[in-house]
Amino acid sequence: MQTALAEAAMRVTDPAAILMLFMGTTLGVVFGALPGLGTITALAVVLPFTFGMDPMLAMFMYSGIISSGTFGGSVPAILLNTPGTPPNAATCLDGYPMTRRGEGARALAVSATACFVGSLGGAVILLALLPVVKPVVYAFGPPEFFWLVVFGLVTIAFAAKGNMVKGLVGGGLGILLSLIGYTEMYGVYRYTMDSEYLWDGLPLVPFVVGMLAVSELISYSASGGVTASEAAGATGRDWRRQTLQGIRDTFSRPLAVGRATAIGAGIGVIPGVGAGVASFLSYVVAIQGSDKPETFGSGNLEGIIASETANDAKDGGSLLPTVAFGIPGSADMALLLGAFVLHGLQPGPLLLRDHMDLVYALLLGIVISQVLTSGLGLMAVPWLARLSTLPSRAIAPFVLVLVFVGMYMLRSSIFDVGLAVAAGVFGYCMRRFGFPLITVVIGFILGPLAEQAFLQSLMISDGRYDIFYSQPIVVVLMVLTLVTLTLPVAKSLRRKVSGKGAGVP
Amino acid sequence: MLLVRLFAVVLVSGALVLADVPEAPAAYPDKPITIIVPFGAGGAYGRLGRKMGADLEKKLGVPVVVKNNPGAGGRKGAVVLFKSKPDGYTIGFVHFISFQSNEILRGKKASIDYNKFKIILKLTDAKQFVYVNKKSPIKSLADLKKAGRPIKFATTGVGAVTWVEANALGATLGFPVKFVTGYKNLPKAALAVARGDAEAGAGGYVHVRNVLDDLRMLAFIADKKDPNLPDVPTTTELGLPQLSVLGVPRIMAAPPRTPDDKLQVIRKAVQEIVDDAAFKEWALKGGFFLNPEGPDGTWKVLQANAKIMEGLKPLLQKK
Repeated sequence: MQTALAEAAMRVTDPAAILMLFMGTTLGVVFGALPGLGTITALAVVLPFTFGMDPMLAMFMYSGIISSGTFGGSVPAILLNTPGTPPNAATCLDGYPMTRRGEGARALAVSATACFVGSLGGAVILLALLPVVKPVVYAFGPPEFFWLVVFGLVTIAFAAKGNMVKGLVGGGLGILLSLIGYTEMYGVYRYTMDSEYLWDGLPLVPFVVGMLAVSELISYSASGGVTASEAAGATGRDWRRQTLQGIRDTFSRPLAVGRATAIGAGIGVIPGVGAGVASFLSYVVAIQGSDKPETFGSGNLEGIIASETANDAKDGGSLLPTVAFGIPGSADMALLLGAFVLHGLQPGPLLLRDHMDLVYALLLGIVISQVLTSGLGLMAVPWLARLSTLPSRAIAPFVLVLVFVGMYMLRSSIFDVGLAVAAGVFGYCMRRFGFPLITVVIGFILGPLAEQAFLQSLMISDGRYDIFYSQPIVVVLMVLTLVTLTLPVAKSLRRKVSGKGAGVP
Repeated sequence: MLLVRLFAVVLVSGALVLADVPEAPAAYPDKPITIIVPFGAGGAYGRLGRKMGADLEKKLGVPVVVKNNPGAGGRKGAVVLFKSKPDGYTIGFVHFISFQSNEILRGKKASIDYNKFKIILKLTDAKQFVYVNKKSPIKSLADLKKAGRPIKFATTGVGAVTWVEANALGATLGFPVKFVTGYKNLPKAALAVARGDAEAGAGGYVHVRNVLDDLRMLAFIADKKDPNLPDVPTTTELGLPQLSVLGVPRIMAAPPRTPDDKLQVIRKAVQEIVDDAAFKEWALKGGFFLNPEGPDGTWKVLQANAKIMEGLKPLLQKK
């Protein structure tokens, strides 16, 4: 083990390796920050170029991309309320309100630091879990999946705070829209109207980006002004002060960071759940653990810590089933798996035995590239934050062009661009009528996962519902979900009762 | 007068077009060739396409661009290829099985007549093992029937190749089949069987190898053994040769009306690549079961597949 680690560590100091890491990191940040593109696209773009490369160098390139995309994606989420990648959507909830308050630099610094800590924690957890990966992966089947996803769906209730009916309508609408397309489970077409475009359903990225980003840009152009009016007179020194404050904020909350890391890495290990669940679930748990739950959604920096840390810790976690089992933990890992095979490596127990140096290289690469990302990111924060003081009407067209180019690049489909525009207009209307858009997105991302896990569970149990409450892990997850849902209600009821009691003379 | 003049102009320009003497035919190929792969970059088709692209480039001496065009179970890329200019500079992989199951099992007529593709060569057959969870009392194909109860298979979805295989096995041996569907890919289905979500499954060596300790292989649906697991009997050996045709043929094809002389050039180059020892070794390591066949043999395989699917159609209508 030591020799493999030493070998990987030696290779990391190679100038070519550093160059690869740097290139990967740059690509990752840029692709992450451009709404619509993302880690997966970046990996897909570089994959052919790494074909003839030394496998170790290629791994450095990939790890650069994988670890840096998340921070990249949080930048537009915080500054423009436009998640760079879908899992960054949870970051918008508190990041954007902070920007509006004039604390954009602080929010960005929190994100950069949280990403760093999450990535490091994820790598440590990966190493710790490597010997026991099999029982962990085997323990999670469709019923366990189902409760995990439902736990994530509970976010809808929190995101819809104060607007419960509209929030639930939004969530339901998201789930309904996600049903479109061919369902392989039953071999049927739902609402495809014989359109070839709809065979695969509404594509996730154009829909989510249209819904959140394009609609936001429309309202930018409509309202004018600047995002952070309070920060209009801020100087460079103010932004730098905020940046340092953000770093301190993160490190002074070890519990929040540790919790989010554990959740992110844990979700990552379970194949197929994905970063969307990780960040939303971590967000819900953060609210539950907070003594000021009502401040979430209006700029509580613990919300950013929760989603960004989990988002990055997920990478370490999902690397585990990928390298140990050849079963990708998430979509970007599926591409990484392909890359492994392209280089003649077969992920699985044999890879761990014969090529542990490559696994370490990947891990070291992820950590080093995260240092690069967060370090350079923190340096850039004071400049990035200035974006929030520019007139919206100047930013909107620029970002819109980037969004459209990104949408087109994704699959070279002009329909994707059209869908993003349509979703944007639709989202803008919903916004105007006071629907929390994030609930639509949560429903759209998590709804199909919940449906599939629910139906699979019933197929396994031959239609008996006791599968949802008869296994230990399932029971724990179920109780957690129910407690999370009912606790706020119980709390407010108790407050009302005690309030009344106090009122009696 | 105007009309007459217009007519004259049309006539003259028409004559000019006709008189456009064709240049002496340049040696084919003399410009970049595009290979359309109807799936993403990381998967089996993606890897095969990438390797074929690199090798063709060396062989033909022109740049070969590999373009991934995923969507709709491989049908989207095929439609793009079908509508490409038939000049020999756009070729690709066609996932015919997807069209067949969509048309026969789901009653969805394709927007293109996929039988008009010009086959270059069938490269490989993705062949599957039938396996059960190691703890299952079932030890052979015959036991599947003897169990006297429905056998539950994990599969990606209704109409997928493994779904067809399980049903064909059930219909041939005479045992009822049930499914747990919705697994994203065959490795995940294999993991599900290893976990115990379902009792049985089907998948290739690359899909099962990481959970082999928890599975028991019953048979290999093919007429030749898989060198990776040579102890597993084939369906042909077990007296079920009619099933051995099942699998996923990976076929290179060109748009309809691609000239035969150009097809010949490409086919010869591809055949030489497939026959090369280095390619064979690469294929074996990557889990590809090389089984090259020309157009006639390929169409026969596809027809046999279609026939089996036709036989399973009543199963779907019953539901």
